[in-house]
Amino acid sequence: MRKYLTRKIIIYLITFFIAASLDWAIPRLMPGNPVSLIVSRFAQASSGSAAQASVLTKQMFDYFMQAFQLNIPWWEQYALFWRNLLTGNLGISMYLYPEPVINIILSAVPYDILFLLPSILLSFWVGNRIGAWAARSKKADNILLPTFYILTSVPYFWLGILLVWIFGTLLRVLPMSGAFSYSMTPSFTFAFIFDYLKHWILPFLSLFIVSLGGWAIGMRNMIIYELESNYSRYMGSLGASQRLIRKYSYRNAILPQITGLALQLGTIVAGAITTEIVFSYPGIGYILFEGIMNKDYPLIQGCFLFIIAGVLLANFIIDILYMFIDPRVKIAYTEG
Amino acid sequence: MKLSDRLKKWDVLYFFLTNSKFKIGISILLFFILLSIVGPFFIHYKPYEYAGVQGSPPSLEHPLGTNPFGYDLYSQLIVALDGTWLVGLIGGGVATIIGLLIGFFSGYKGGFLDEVLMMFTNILLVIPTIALLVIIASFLNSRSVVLESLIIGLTGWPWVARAVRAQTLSLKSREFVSLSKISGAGTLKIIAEDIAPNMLSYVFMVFILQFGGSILAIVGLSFIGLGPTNSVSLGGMLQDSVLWNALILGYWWWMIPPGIVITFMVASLYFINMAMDEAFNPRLRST
Amino acid sequence: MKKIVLAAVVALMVASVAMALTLPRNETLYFGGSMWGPLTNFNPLNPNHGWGVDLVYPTLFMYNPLTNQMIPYLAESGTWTSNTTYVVKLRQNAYWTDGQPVTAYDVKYTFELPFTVNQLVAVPSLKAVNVINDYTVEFVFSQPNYPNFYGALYGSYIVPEHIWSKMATSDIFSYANLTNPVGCGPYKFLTYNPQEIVLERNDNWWGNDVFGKPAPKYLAELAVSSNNVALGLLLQGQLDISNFYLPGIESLIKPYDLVAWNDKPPYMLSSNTALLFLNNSVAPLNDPQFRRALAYAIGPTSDLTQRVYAGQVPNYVDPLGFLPIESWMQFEDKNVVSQYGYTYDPAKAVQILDQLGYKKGPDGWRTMPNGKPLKLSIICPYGWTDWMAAERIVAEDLQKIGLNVTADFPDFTTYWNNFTSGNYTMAINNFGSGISMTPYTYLYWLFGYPVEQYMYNGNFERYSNPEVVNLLNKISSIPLDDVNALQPLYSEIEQIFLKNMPVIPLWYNGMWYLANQSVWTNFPNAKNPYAFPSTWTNNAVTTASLYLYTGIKPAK
Repeated sequence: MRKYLTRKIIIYLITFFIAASLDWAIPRLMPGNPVSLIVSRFAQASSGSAAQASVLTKQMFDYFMQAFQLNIPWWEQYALFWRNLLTGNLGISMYLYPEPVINIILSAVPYDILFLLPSILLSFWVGNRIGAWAARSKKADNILLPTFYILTSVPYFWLGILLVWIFGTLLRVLPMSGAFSYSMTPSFTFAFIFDYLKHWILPFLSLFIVSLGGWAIGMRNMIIYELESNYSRYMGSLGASQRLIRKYSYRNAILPQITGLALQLGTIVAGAITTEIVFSYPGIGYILFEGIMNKDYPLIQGCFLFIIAGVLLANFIIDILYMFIDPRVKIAYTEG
Repeated sequence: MKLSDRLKKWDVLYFFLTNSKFKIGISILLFFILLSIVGPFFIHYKPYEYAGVQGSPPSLEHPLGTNPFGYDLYSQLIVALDGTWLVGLIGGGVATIIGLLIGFFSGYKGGFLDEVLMMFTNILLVIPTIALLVIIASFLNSRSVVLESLIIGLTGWPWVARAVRAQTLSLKSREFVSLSKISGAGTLKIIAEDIAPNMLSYVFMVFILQFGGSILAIVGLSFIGLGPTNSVSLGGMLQDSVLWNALILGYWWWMIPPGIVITFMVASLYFINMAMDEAFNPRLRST
Repeated sequence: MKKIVLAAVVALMVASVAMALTLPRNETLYFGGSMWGPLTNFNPLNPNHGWGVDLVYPTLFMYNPLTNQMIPYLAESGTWTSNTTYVVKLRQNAYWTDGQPVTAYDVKYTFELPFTVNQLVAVPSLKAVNVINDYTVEFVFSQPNYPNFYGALYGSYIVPEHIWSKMATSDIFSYANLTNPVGCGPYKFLTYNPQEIVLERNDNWWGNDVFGKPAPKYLAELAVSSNNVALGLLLQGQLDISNFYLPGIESLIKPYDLVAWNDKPPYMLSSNTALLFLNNSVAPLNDPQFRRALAYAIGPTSDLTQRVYAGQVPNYVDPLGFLPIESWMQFEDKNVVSQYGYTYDPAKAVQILDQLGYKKGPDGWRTMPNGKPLKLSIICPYGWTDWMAAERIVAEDLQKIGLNVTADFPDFTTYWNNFTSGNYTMAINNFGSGISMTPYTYLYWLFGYPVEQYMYNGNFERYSNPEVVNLLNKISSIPLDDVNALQPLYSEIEQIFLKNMPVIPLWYNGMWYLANQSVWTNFPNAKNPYAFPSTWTNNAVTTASLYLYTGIKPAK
């Protein structure tokens, strides 16, 4: 058991090392110099006097090459990257200069946790329950499944925009954008929390509704598959109750679902970008979008590193859980 | 092959073809396929040609209206359909094939190969598609549909591989596989004869999910401005309409049809998948 | 799971400001249009600063482009006492929010900072800033560059010496300045969060008697990422002033009783000119006659703006691309324009191309005179929807005269790399054509920079003409109000411009501005032009919009 854990941890560390190295290399493989973009932005910002811009450009260029450590050999940049990473330093944002990337990400993370986690977990839980129910009730199946197939086919942001239009513009019952009213500042007061929840409903719904369909379909198909398996039939022939068989089927069917969930947790952060843009919701997806639009490589890198770490952590937890949920996996591992 | 087996095969096909979900799904799908084939004959404008009137609602002249730039939206939609099929086929196909191969072998062989393959899978999994597209975007003056589909396929398979591997792990420790092992069958034989058939419905589901997923992926990418730049696409139409406040300004015919086409196109595939499932699992057939 | 949620809630509360503040709607002005992401620095010396530094750190003068006037702000007056010396007298009642007076030492400190901080740029040929007494300061030049110096007078935010001088030189440029910045403007920095920046009125402001007291107690600039959200907020009255570009809005101005600058098309003031850059270093665009043919095919009065901006901006553009503001137009020589200018005349374009020998090949497209194929491409950044539509129309115009022109939309980085390295044939851009006190800034941006491998600041079309550079240098050494001395120089440049057409003006971009009157009224417009309708923090124009905040009134 301990041996298994040690091995897993080492593998995850290697994975992280390679992924982070790739993350470091990606912007550096790009043609052109990212600094020239930021410099041109600065030059335009001071458009009041044209002749100044030229001088400014040259000085700024040197300054930023140094500030972003692009003027040293690549192996030193790489070593520095790891040294900084281990001390929690993700560099300085170019677009939001001079803010450290880690601060920008940390300011977005609470919104993400409160918005994404409930959407993902609730849709997972509700979706699986409904899926399992649909699998054993043909009537429900005939109505629910087509509905879910349609729901899961809707593009997130399109649904989001329709929701905004219906509830925000036409009915005017829910706010259209933001994480809280512009007249508020975040605080631990009843008024703020109520306001926050009001703003939370629409983004939550647009993510929840679409993901729900996916989980329900997955679970329904898994259960069907499990019910058809030899062991279910065997159990049936031994006289086990349908209830018991379904219980076992559910336990088996949930495995691939949990695998899916682990992966969702990481990629959904990037996937929720569109939703966060539609609602101007200040999460990490929105920050990443800003980074992409403004070619802010330290920021993009930081967001990706964060997502990478999240996905790996989630996968690690799932791997451990797997040992407890499915003993067959444990045997398969030890068998080699 | 025994006669009963043959009959069973026909039986599956029969139930598949007469299933109402299949009928609905294939009708929608055929409608879109037909639209792609016949539709171009009724196009009177190029996708980005000025059609004379700006922002006109649907009419006989312009079945889906025109947008405020004066582009005929029917023409745009029909041309965009072709690209959408391509994305689904290439993106979904590539992801399914790679994911299945890696998932099967990883799960079945286990041990060192499994660790290496899974590490590879995990690494690719944690690098979001957007990262690759940002890089490619900077290399090229334009992004083509085929290229984006390939990237979506090449980055979409880890999900398939993980799920297939988990399924294989479960399957391989079951009694019938152990039986084959005892009888001395080779790896490939066991995979081909024992494991793969058992996963058939799952494979279909995976492909269809990936087909639909690829379409949704490119739509999402288009929305954040990373879609194909050299052709009209459904996601691009949506992005334009959102940037242009189509709904608030009352140009519903600009925003709604592409979304409906995407939704129903993807949904029709799911319907067919569902029908297949029922055909392969006789217990589920409605009487 | 519960623990995670709990931890998240706690994290949110810790990360947030511990103050529970609710802005009263009737005392707050909400606006947006220049901030797309969260605020990260409020450093007036860093060009990347957030919105509103001009309201906390005033400048010596303000510039009002509507009246073409310099308005004394921290300064009381400014005069040239010799050809090389400019003396500024400061207001004696101006105070920083910590109670210290605003003095000549602050001005000296601010203008001399670039001498020691090398990320900052000094006013060209400025030798020294001398303090005559506490409220009088003298700028000494070797040879003044008037346009740039005036730009600095209304563009340089004055910082308090007694606070900033305590900082290490190396920290000054990157200082975030987000905790209680000490300024001397009508507003104080109050708070910020990922969605907005909030300023609070300085009720004891020294300027209340001089300029009037600003009406809103709070100013909140919203960070909104998509313009459909901005439009929704505006229509519902949650956004008072929108400086966002809102396509299609023209149909909603009347139904929602919105204030636009004009109550009929064109609804917007113009803020800059979009131009078609022709790469003068590649054939056939290195031929002035060929370039002129393109100008005739595109013309200053095509239906481009109607098809893209539908009445929001004027349906013509000046043949020189001069903005329709007094400071620029006073130097446009009507005789030169009528003699050397061009009109929308495709037939003339065809005639020129035929004469030059660009004959049509078997595929219907014109070829080079030597028979080689001729292929051109226009680029603008992908996703800039209105520019993309405009670019397609320009491409159509050129296709009509037989040129094989494609409209291409690279990603912004690629666009910018190709544009600055000269790896393009035609491109649309407007980055340096904004409103200013003199057309010199525009012309210098277009022609002033010598051609190098990479062009980051201007002359993207790579037009090389020492005569123009020489004329620009002469212009820069003549006081802005010496019209008689300046006019012949401008006329000469204009003639060269029109004879050569290194670039082709396409359309005027709007000063996007709409206001909802449900909470505030008396917004400026063409009939009541008391302020330039911009909330953008841009050196060139914002300072004079102080009057926007003093001029509006509560609706009830």
